[in-house]
Amino acid sequence: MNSGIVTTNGFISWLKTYSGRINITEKAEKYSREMLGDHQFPLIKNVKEVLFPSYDRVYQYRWDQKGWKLNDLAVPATPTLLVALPCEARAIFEVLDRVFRKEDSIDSGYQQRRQDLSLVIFGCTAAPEPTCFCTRVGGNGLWTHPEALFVLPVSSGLYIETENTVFSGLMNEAKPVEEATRKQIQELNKKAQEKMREDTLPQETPQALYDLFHDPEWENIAWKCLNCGACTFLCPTCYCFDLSTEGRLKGYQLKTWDACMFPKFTLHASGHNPRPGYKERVRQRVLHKFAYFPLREEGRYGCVGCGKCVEICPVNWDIRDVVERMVKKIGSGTR
Amino acid sequence: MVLAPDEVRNIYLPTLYPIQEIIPETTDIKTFRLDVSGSSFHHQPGQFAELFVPGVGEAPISITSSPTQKGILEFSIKRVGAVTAAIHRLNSQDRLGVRGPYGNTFPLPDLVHQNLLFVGGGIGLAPLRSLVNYVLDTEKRPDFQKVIILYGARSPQDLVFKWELETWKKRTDLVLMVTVDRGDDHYKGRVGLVPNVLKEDVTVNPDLWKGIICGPPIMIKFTIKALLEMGFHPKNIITTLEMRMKCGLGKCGRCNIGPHYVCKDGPVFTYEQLQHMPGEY
Ligand SMILES: Cc1cc2nc3c(=O)[nH]c(=O)nc-3n(C[C@H](O)[C@H](O)[C@H](O)COP(=O)(O)OP(=O)(O)OC[C@H]3O[C@@H](n4cnc5c(N)ncnc54)[C@H](O)[C@@H]3O)c2cc1C
Ligand code: SF4
Ligand code: SF4
Ligand code: FES
Repeated sequence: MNSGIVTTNGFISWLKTYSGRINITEKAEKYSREMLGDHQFPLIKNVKEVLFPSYDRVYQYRWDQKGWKLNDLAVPATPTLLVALPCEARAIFEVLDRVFRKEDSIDSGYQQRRQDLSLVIFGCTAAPEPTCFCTRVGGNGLWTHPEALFVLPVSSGLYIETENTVFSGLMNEAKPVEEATRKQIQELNKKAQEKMREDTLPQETPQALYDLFHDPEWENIAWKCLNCGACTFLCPTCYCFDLSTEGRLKGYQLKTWDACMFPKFTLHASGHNPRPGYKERVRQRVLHKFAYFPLREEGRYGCVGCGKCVEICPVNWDIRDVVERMVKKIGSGTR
Repeated sequence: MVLAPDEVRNIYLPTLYPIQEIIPETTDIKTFRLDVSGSSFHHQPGQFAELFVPGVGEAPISITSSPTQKGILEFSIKRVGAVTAAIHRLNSQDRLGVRGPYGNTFPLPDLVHQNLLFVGGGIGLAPLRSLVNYVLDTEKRPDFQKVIILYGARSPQDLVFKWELETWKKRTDLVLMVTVDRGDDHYKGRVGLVPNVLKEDVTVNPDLWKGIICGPPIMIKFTIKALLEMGFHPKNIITTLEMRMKCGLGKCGRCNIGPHYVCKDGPVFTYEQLQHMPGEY
């Protein structure tokens, strides 16, 4: 990795030279004074908005005398610089990419937006919100990816790190990292790694939770939830979508956000519904993230521990409590 | 992994194919034969496709034709809602959008050199038919042993593929048994529920046969029960499932049973696999 030290002003001036859209997530913004001073950029609630818009036209259809025509709609190239926290960045690399960039079925719209994306990760040295729990699901406050620009305030300025040449303008201005700072970073990294190792759910958790599929506790867990879906729309990893049409003789095929919280999501044409009630739907949301996704995706949790769903929920349904409640029951039931 | 976006085709975009022929089957079922000659569309028995009517939407439908029938694709469709009704309104030469093929296939490597017992109910014969005609293909037939087809519907009017049942009946290398729940004045054939006919009239050595079933959920349930009573091992019972589907690609998140996406890992499962799944279907 290339690394260096820049000043806050140097960093902000470089951001201003960026020729494209700049977005910062609400979560990163709250935590960004040291990096951005009073400088403000357009806020987004959630990283997925940039890559997987809530409303997306995937192709166009049109009727004329000769019949139907289908036109592919290429997503126009829109360079975007996104500032996010490590948990939110993991939602992209560890979850969304694994769905929409799956090698046998790459989503071309996602791929275009993803290639236009330059990601800046603001490191967290302390959990910024009381609802944060990234270390429980395999993350930590200093998590980064070589493709992203990692930024962390240190005594001598802002420490930056990347392997991506998109950021070479900034990297060229950077001063070398002095020995003391390097030590400081190493120390912080060590602490973050240790905390992650201590906190992360044991490797067998996904299968063990799946084995609790028929546990009566799900009934209690679902009791309070309104099935309003707010959590799923705020969640950076919730990726379920609907495909529908808009317009009769001329219109668009739409790809729009959908959620497992709604009965229509799984309703069969016969009227039968495999997830007819709150229990089945809440269980799906929890197990998708904590069992099914990791079982399919090399142990990656479908939750990055950002805590947004806990903050938004009108009835204070708390996924952390739910997971801990079920983890305590591990070994007590069978599927 | 880094592919330029223009090298990636749009996975949601269907291709329009002209309808060559429409065969009315029952009051609410029609079979549509599409001309796909010259296209690279290639499927295996058991797969399905997403059919698209512009301005209305998509529906997942089993490909009922065998891949050995070159240049065509057939779909038998029951009119139940918006999309299926719109497909029923189409005429010969109209074009229908097709995306796919999707899903796994009947486990051909496990089926070669085996005796095959097909049990179909109602329009559930449609997915089985892709495999039946594959097995009956002149080139493939020697790869398989005996074939029994037990097909049932609620009434004589509800039997689909009557035109093809005639052809199958004439063949000497298979046994075709047709039954209906309730007969009528003109019907001279067998009357009885599929699982009962199976238990009463089919005698096979369960260790030497594979049972391949599709039909309404209730029929599948009782047919599996009957096969188990006849001594079939759960791994020798094969069925196909239906779920509400949108993408067909394991992405949109709605068709899973536990960690298994029916659109991708299915729709074909053995009963043994289903026994290890939570039954949320
Ligand atoms: C793998 C697979 C293979 C299949 N193969 C076949 C096949 O070979 N042949 C076949 O005929 N079918 C097949 N099906 C079933 C088929 O996909 C469905 O019947 C079809 O999707 C129904 O779509 P539709 O748009 O016509 O119905 P929809 O309009 O979606 O309606 C579905 C049902 O919901 C009800 N509904 C619609 N809108 C509303 C509303 N606003 N509120 C309440 N209820 C509403 C309708 O009354 C209807 O009963 C298959 C399904 C799968 C998953
Ligand atoms: S489930 Fe909640 S905590 Fe986990 S990633 Fe989604 S919003 Fe964040
Ligand atoms: S957990 Fe809370 S936010 Fe999510 S659906 Fe239930 S009530 Fe709504
Ligand atoms: S239909 Fe979308 S995941 Fe199966």
